[in-house]
Amino acid sequence: MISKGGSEILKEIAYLPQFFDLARALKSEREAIEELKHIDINIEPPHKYSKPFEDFNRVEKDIEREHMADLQRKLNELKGKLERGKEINPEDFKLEIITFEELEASAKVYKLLKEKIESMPTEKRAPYEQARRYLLESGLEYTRKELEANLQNYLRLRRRKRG
Amino acid sequence: MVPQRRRYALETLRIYTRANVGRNLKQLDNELRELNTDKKLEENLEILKKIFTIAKEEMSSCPSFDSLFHRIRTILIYEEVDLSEIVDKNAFENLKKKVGNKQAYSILAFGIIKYYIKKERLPHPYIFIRYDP
Repeated sequence: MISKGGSEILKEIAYLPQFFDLARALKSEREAIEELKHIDINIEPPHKYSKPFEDFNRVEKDIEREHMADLQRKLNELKGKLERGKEINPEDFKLEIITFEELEASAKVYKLLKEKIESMPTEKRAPYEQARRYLLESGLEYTRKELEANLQNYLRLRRRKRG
Repeated sequence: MVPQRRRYALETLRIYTRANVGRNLKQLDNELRELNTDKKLEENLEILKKIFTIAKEEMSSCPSFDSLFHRIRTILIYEEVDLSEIVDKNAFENLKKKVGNKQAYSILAFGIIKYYIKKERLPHPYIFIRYDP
């Protein structure tokens, strides 16, 4: 039974190259891992390496803490502007978010912005709507990195399990 | 017959759910049953429409999985939609305590995307691909 029109079928076919790209990428990755399996690696006792890793983690935590403090300052400024009813620049709402906690922290400003939009006449909403969209988009890079890192870890573990 | 596009979307979702929240789709289903998500969405399809309308705002018609997931999770964190209309709030609080905030919101976002793929009631031509076209 043929139930699909030509355009419907064409639409489905259009996605196939992307599927093959993904399949090819996974295949070449698998081949690279196969090669790596044959290399002997001598691992020194962990205590020799733990110090640099500990230092690195500490530095990373410091950077995150500092970044969070900066972001919090910026969020407070934006909040103040919104509460006082000052004019806003939508570009200021493009925030650099590097952790999930920062994503959660920006929720208050988003709520305030939304309340502001709802209380405004339609013709004055445009910059606020734009700011809302920028805020919604902030942190995409963080999410992308998070998904990528998780996926790579998962694939590595699966490969190790299969041996 | 399951259309190619939908089958591919489910396969991508399966890998991502496993990688990101450490659950297979069956486990995800069980968790969502506890949260009452499917039932609530079933009763209120408007809320699903609202989520996807905001999520696709200013995006290309064929967004990457990453950007769609980000938008949906952020909408949930920002409470752009009333969470009590999507989940059993007590069960969600328990899940947050059990797996942490990030995981809980991710599980819910995956659940919403899965429900959307399963039902395909809304006419958006989404395909959840890893790489931007």
